[in-house]
Amino acid sequence: MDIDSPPPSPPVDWRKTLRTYLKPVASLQLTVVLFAMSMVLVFFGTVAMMSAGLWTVVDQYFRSAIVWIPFDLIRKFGTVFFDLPKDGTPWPYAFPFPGGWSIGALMLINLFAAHLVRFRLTWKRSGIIILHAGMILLMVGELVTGLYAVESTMSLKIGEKSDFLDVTREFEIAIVDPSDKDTDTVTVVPMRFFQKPGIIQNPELPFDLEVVAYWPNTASEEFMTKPDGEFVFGIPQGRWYRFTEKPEGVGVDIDSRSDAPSVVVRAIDKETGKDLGKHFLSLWFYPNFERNKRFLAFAERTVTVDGKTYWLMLRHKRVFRDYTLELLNFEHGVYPGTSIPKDFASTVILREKDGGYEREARIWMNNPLRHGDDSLYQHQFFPGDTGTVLQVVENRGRLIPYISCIMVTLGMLIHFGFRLLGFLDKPKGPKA
Amino acid sequence: MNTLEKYFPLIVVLVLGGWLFSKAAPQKPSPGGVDYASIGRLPILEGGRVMPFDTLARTALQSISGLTEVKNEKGEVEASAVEWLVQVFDNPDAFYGKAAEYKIFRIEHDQLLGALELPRRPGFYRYSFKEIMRNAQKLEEEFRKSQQKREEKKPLDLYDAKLEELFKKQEQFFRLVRTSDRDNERIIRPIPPQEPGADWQSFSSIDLRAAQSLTEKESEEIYEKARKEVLDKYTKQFGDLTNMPEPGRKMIEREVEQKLRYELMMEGRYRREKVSPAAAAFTTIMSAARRDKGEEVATAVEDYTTNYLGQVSEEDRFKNRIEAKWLGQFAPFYHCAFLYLPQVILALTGWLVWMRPMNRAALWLGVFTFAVHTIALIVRMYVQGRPPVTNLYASAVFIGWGAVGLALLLEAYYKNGVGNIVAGTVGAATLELAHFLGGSGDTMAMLVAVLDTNFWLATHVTTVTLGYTATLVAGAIALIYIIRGVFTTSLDDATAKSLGQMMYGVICFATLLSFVGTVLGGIWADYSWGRFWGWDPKENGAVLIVIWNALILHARWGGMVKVRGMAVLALFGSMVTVWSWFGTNQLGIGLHAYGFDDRLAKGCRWFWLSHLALMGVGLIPRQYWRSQPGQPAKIAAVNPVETTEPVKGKAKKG
Repeated sequence: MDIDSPPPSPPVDWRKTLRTYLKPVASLQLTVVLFAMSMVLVFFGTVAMMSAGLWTVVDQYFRSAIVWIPFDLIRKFGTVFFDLPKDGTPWPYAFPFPGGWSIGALMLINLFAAHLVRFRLTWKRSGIIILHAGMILLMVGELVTGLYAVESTMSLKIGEKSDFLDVTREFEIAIVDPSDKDTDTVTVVPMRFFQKPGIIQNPELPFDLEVVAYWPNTASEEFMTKPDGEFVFGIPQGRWYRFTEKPEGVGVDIDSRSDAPSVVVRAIDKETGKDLGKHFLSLWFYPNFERNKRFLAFAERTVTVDGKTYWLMLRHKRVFRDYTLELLNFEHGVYPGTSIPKDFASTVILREKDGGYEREARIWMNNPLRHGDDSLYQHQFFPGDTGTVLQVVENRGRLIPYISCIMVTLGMLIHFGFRLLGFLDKPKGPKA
Repeated sequence: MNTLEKYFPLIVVLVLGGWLFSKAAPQKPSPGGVDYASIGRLPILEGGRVMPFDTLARTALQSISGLTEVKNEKGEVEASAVEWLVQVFDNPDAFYGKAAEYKIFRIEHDQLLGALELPRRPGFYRYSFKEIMRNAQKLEEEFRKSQQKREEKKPLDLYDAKLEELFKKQEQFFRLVRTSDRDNERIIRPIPPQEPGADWQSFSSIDLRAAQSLTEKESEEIYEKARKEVLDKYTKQFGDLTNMPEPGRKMIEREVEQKLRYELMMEGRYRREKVSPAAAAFTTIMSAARRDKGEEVATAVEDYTTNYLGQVSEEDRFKNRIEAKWLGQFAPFYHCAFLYLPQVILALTGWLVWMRPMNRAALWLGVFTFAVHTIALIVRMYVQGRPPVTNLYASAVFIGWGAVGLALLLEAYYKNGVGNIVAGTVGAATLELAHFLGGSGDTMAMLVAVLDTNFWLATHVTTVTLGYTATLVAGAIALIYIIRGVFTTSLDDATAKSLGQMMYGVICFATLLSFVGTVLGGIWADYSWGRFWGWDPKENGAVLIVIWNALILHARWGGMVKVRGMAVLALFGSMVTVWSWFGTNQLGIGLHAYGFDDRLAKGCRWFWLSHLALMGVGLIPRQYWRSQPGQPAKIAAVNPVETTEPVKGKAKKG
């Protein structure tokens, strides 16, 4: 079957014109070129993860219109497979390449055009149509996920209740007014305001904030006695931590852990312009941070203005839910005589805030708890098994991949099935 | 067909099958000698699972020496794995006695050999514990220097890597002698529970309990002795210790504690029977075997198995016997690799002379070996209680199995030898690779929590691995097409056409499986951490295979390539598969562990370079190929349709 040859053209003129214009866009040559380009993109994206964080790469390579690929990636590939020295000088320059959004869009256009030009509804072609519709759905699904899915975590000690989530890859500076004895008043500054130096002013803020420095990631070293250094902080257990800037973690890291940004801010009195002090805020101080997990209790950073004291902290962006979760129990099993984890499980009670609904659930590996658009997964645990970290994902496009997978598989089975039947029907080899 | 032609395949299978099953023959001990097979069947708890002593012996020996037997320089077998481990396991004399004489530590790096003042042993490369220990101090010094370099984040070189490798092997040896690692984390527990619900026991816990029966005075003496020894050592190094700063004093205290623990354990060792008759019985087996008393061993094993294994489930014991005998001693995957090779030789010979019998013999041999391969795979699945692929080792075994199965099907249909050659080469290569990968530890190790799901292992992992398999098979057919076409005159039109059909069919199959497998992986990811697609290197590797196969199909449908182009593209498909299978893992390892084992990275490199070269060969314009289109077959009856003999059972049409 040659799908490139057009069917007998109908005598309608506009269709003919449309076809003339669409034909180059619909060509299989373009399909093949786009496939090859997507492979180049995925390959370099993977190699790029040797030196950049996975999500940075995803944003730069796969969820972008254009990407500048450094030639140095070729050298990095060579250090692993072709014995190039690991500490050689980086290669200069980069070349532009279409990013994931562009290639994906072109693929969709190519696919639609192809079906417009060569559309014929026959049994033999039904497989191809189903398959391609499934592919379109799959790509749309990834688009929906890329645009709308939010990943966050909920950290709970045994016996604790919580109704908020920490959004994994977003941060905020929270300014807390603890003066009221029942409720804290919290004002937050989203991350886009403090990722570069500048002054943050807003009527909601009790004082202005000047961003002195922003670190995308922070290294921490532990000391028994107070070490030298600009950013050194102690905890009640009598240990000291020194914080220094470090590059973000990289995507191929087997033990990949999340980055800890830090920001140095200066509080400035709104009216007098008086310097209220410089403060080092780090995600390390945040009790729910993945690498802290309530383990390191640093003192609050405070700013006093007009006799009122405010707490300052850098934390994950916080979002609230209309349900609360209470952790009843956490289990962590290992295989005897080893430290290989056998299972992790959290037993929780989920209560809707309006009191309408309550249930107990056990969340363990490969067995999430679904509630509305949220899925809650067993993710990590606190040191000493004292609490749990659940991964919470809100994804409206969750079912799309399931449907598209079934469609593509079915399409392929039909299409290849027809071909196989045709093949088995024919005599073997050349005619005698 | 004359009689010889008729019975030739049968003879081949009988001869080679006989050889294979001779490997399964029970190892009869010499009269009065020790029956090591009976010791090999004893259950122990290691790495979180109940395994036969035989498996511990094989995996430990293989990771130290690269072999599953102890050999001497002449290549003669000196001891089986079990025999060796009996000498080492829980034996404080192992550092001096017979166990220290076995040449098992593999060192090939010249500089390291020089540092340890060891003679070069090209081709053998193995050294005994005694030989290495002659320069123990130097080894430790060198290792400390290398550790310092690592701490200061200075680049490490191959020497450092090899040094660390040797140090790790030595640690492993110590772990077997002490039955526990230095930090008391990875403890071997050889003694089964004696009452329902109890745990498996380690020798260290038994010995420490036994030491509690010491009188106060005796323990006091031991403590003083340990303390004095440690203090003496440090006084010799630093002089007066009274003004030692706090951290130093703490370190010394810790060492005294360790020393005391060790001394107590040594004392407890001789009192084992007081707290655990089972441990004493196990020790009796070992010591009788070390003294080569066959009859004593037989009685002791009998006593141990009847009296102390009551709490080990019948199923575990049965699985242990199967594992020791049919996966351990018989080593089916290793031996199948040797049977796949003659299949290739027979089929290749068939292209030159005596086509039909040779090819039939190759097919029969292939089917026979495949049957053994299949049964071994099922036995493995039964013993482990898991779907076939749980780690890299198992993926090699399974990919080999799938490729052989697929190629044999092609051979059964086309009967032109191509399927035989693909089956034999891919089968032998993957099983050889599995043997290499098996050197890194227990091949049936317990799975971390997220992998602990037979449903996803059975669906996603199996399908995606079969996708790899089909892509590799298409690549292998492409290889035959190009080599035969360029270098021989045997690629006539009929053969070219059938090779093209095979490749095309297999690529369709590969597209389907790799797509379904990849998406199932996404669904699993959605189930376990709520992310359908995470863009991690392994996922990206899998999607590359899908796209590449789709590319080949579209290029063919668009008329951009014909058979030759498809063959060149299919070769690249194999390269992509190797990238996904092994390459992506190397990126992370290569980046973070300086002294990483780069043999897999090297393997990838040679695979890619050779395939690139072959793609280049395939791109040589058709008019320069030795086989020209339109020429009749030069080799007698490459295509069975052209033989005078009708293909049995299949009526020809047209």
